[in-house]
Amino acid sequence: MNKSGYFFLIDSLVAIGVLTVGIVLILSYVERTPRTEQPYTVSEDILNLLQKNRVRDINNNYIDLLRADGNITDTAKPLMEQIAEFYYRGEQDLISPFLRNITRQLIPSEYNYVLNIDNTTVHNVSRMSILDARYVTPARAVVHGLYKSELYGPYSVEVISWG
Amino acid sequence: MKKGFFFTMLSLTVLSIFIVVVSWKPAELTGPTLYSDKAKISVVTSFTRDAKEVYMKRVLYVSSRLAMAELNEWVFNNRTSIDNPELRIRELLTNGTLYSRKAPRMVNQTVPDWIEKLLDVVGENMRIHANITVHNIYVYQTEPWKIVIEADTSFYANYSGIYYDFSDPVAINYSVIGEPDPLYAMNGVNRSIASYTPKEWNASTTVAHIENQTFRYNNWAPGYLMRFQNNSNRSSCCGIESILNSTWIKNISHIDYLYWNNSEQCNGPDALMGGMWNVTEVWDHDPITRVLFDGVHLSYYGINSSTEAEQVCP
Repeated sequence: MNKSGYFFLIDSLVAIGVLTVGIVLILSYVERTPRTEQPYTVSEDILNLLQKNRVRDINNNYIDLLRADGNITDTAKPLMEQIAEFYYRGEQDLISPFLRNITRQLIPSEYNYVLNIDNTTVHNVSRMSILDARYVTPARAVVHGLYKSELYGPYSVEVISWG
Repeated sequence: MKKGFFFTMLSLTVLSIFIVVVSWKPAELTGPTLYSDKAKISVVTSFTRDAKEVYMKRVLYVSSRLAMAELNEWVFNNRTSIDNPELRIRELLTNGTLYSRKAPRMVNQTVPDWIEKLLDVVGENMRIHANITVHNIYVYQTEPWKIVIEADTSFYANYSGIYYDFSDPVAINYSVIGEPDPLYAMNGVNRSIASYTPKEWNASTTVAHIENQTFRYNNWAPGYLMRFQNNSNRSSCCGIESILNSTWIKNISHIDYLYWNNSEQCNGPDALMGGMWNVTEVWDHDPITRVLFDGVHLSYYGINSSTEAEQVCP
């Protein structure tokens, strides 16, 4: 074996090492990159959660308490309609505790968001200022419902999340 | 040296290709264009679905409830019938007027009012350019305790170039249970519709029927809408009747629509109804003061004419 044989052997080992480190770096980079669409769907997910789940779907002591007090009369209502009903009845002080209780297990605590009804903020969860956010995403919908045979709304509802 | 340069370039090329292959993702899955198109479609479909299947039905229900209250109040106050209740309900729902006079309950509560509220909200806050047009409203009955209110409606929604445009009827079954009865109202009596369907009709269930002021289905009686017209014709699908307990002593059947539309029934053509009968169990029962049955209704209520009733006339 001459000198150039050693040289190419060592060269190939170095090349394999470089390739291995490269692959590991690339794969780890790909794994850790967050889904690019995730920040855009947080607001929509929160809105969907409130629109598609009914009051009776949530097993929660606070809801049981509100029902016993007569503050919730129809558990077949979607959560969003119940929130809008509190707003219509002028009982906005019930909205934040209601939302805090039902979203505790469902929305991760690191998300910052506000819920606006008719351009009035009725619930605010923020750990950082919206002014420092890298992204701000809104999702909007319309809500309406029946309370004692009266139609309330239609209200615009808006969830704004940021991070 | 040239060979070394060649291998270096080769390894760099292979490495570049590898990086490109690993990091490449199909652009159409995550690209902003498709995501925003999906979001737009979702916004438009959820708006139109909610407008057609939920909002418009709620609007029809709420407006109809107020329209019925207006109609019954008008009948009670004026002590007279309505010429065409279907037309009047349509007038109340669309114009908020009754015989061209403003109906107080319908202020900001007509179907066009509610549609305008929705369009304002989605236009201002969601940037959806939408239009909902009600072309016609039909009011009819196919069963005794319900009125069908059907709006022939077209929907249009456009959100950043994604649009829906379709026509579909929106219908509700409006329950008349709990509504004031127009025939009683035009005769100055308040009585709300409550249905009674015992397993068997006999003297005892008839007493309960009278005492509780309930109504029953009878395909020889007029339907709820016909009662606004004081129309005694039969409605095979939807006829309803109740029994009046009255102190007014007159030889006439106390079945409500016969009582207010007929003269003495023991003489003349109405004698064909089988005479007037006094039912012993009903007569004895307090507080019912006076109830007479014609012969046809006597058997319809399961009362035996030879053992449970006595003939008053002829």
